[in-house]
Amino acid sequence: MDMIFMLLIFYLVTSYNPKTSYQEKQIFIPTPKNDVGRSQIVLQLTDTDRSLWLDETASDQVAELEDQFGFLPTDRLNQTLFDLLIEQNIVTEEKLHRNLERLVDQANRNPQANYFVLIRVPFEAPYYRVVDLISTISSTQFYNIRYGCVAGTLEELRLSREIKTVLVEDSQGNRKRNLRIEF
Amino acid sequence: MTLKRFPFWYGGAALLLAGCLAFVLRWIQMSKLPEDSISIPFSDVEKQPEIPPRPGIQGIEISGPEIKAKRFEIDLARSGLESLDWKQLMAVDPHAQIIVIGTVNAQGQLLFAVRDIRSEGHPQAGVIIAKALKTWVYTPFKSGSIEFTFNLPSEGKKLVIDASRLRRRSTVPAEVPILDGPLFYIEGLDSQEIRQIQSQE
Repeated sequence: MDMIFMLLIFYLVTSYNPKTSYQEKQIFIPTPKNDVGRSQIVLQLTDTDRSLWLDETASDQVAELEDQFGFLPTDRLNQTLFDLLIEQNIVTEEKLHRNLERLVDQANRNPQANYFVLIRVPFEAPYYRVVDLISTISSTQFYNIRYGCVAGTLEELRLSREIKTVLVEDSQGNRKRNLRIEF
Repeated sequence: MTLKRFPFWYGGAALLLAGCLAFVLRWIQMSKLPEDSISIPFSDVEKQPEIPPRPGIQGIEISGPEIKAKRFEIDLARSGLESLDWKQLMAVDPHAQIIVIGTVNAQGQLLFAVRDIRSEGHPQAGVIIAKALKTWVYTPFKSGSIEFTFNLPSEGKKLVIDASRLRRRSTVPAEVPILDGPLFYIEGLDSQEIRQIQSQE
């Protein structure tokens, strides 16, 4: 009989108080997958105070360059596309933070939107730079910017196998021209 | 004394009471939650959980801007457009049957010569139609031949527009879909009376 009452009390306590005001916050720690990853923004940090910022405008830039340099052999075309893309999208530390703040602002104004930022960091980069970026990204009101952090250098990105634009269609039939970089 | 005699009865009653109390408390608690948190909608039961985005080691795909479809239709933003007054046409010649074979050029203008208007027996109606059609300009995404068949006495097909010979212009990127909008600018005619044979993508 005692056991039944103990179980009853246990049931009452656990069922009545499922949510407290001090809930655990969700921490997003995605592990890399053996596939092509997807993101809205790619941040490639470098050893200097400059970083590469690639967002949705990058696919238009590459599409334009593909039209312009499409006559080149594949290797030369890839190299040219990377060189020009990097040249056009390298940003200073100040510009990088301005861009991130604008992204946070955009995410706060649009709770339905979900963003994913991929941060590529060289091993030599100081820890505080990444923490600084992540703390800015995490300061959204609705936690709608998620991020993944992987190791990688700009040079590795430059030596990628292929860079191209691809047409994709989502389940609602919306078409997008994405930029794909294959390592 | 009674408790000793019927311990299971009292225990059962206490259990039942506690169960009812738990049910009521739980019910009150759940009534405060938003509706979608109380139960899982039936449509969601079968849904696969959303896999959060993850970085990949084989490459990166960066989302590009959405490709918006363009509409091939009468370009109302252009100046000098004149609508065809259907009531005037009906007043002049309610039995008119006229065919106009025109060409939409690269700028979207509708061009045709006098010989392209087949209005035998109905010259006045032909003039009214030609006067309006000459001013029509389309959005410059397609070009080619277009045929207008006006059949005023008909029911349900007073105007048939055959746009099947129009082709998309090479200046529009292949991945951009072009949808057909209204290819006419007519006042006083119910759109149910107009048939459009769609142009090719």
